[in-house]
Amino acid sequence: MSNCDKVLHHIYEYLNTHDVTDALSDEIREHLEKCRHCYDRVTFEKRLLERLRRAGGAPCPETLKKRIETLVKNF
Amino acid sequence: MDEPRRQEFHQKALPLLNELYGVALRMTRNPQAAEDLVSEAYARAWKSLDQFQPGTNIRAWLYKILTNTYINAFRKKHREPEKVSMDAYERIEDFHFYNRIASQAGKSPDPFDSVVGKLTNEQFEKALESIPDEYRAAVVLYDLQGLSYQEVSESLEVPLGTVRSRLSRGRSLLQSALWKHAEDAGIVKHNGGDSPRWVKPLNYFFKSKPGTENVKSA
Repeated sequence: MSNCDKVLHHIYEYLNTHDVTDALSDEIREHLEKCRHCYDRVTFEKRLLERLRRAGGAPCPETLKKRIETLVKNF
Repeated sequence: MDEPRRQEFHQKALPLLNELYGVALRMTRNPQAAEDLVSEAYARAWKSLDQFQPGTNIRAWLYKILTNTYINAFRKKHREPEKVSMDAYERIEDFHFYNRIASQAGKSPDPFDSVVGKLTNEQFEKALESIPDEYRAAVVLYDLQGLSYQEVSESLEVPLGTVRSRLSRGRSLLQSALWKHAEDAGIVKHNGGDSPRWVKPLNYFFKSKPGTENVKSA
């Protein structure tokens, strides 16, 4: 497996940060400093996930907050 | 209920309410069902608080309860899980969205700003909603909420290998749906004859209409 293939194989684990060893994470980071192709791709996926996270920003309704606070108080 | 545990629940579980509601909304695709689901999950967490080890990860524990509650309610409603045609999936490459953008926007200084930046919150949510439930749950928990493979595996009650394959398929389906939204919004060019057949009807993936199923408190 080439370095590029390895980075692409572990890209989501690297972004999640669980499930990669420190050694692998360092290896990927070093590769990204040298390889523009992989850097662009990883950055794209990272920003895409950040954007997706922000897209669903509906706050918890007040009625639900009250329901749960009541539950915790009264039990 | 002893007081330290009650305090721990107050300090650590209640601040996660917004986050858990957001995930519940993405799982159920329905605000009322999401409220019922979160309410039920907190009630269960509160009742089984003696099983929680103080000092361990309460966030992962709550996700597990939330997801288990959802799956059990969901399984009662649906005998058969939704299935994605493997033929449809095989046509989607890894990093589909990036590759399609890169092939079209070669001259664009930043493909992210020129395509992703133009998609609306609603288009992102619609794309996410279009993925079958079990794939969407894996993507939301791992890629968006940052749980580990092990935590997702325990939440969804499936082996690690299944978590990985659901993530892989879920991401591919999500990326192809995002591309479709970008095409429909005129942000990128339709590829005409080059467009694979599966791109057209996203509803093809569903047996029932999304958003019509309610999760009832068990």
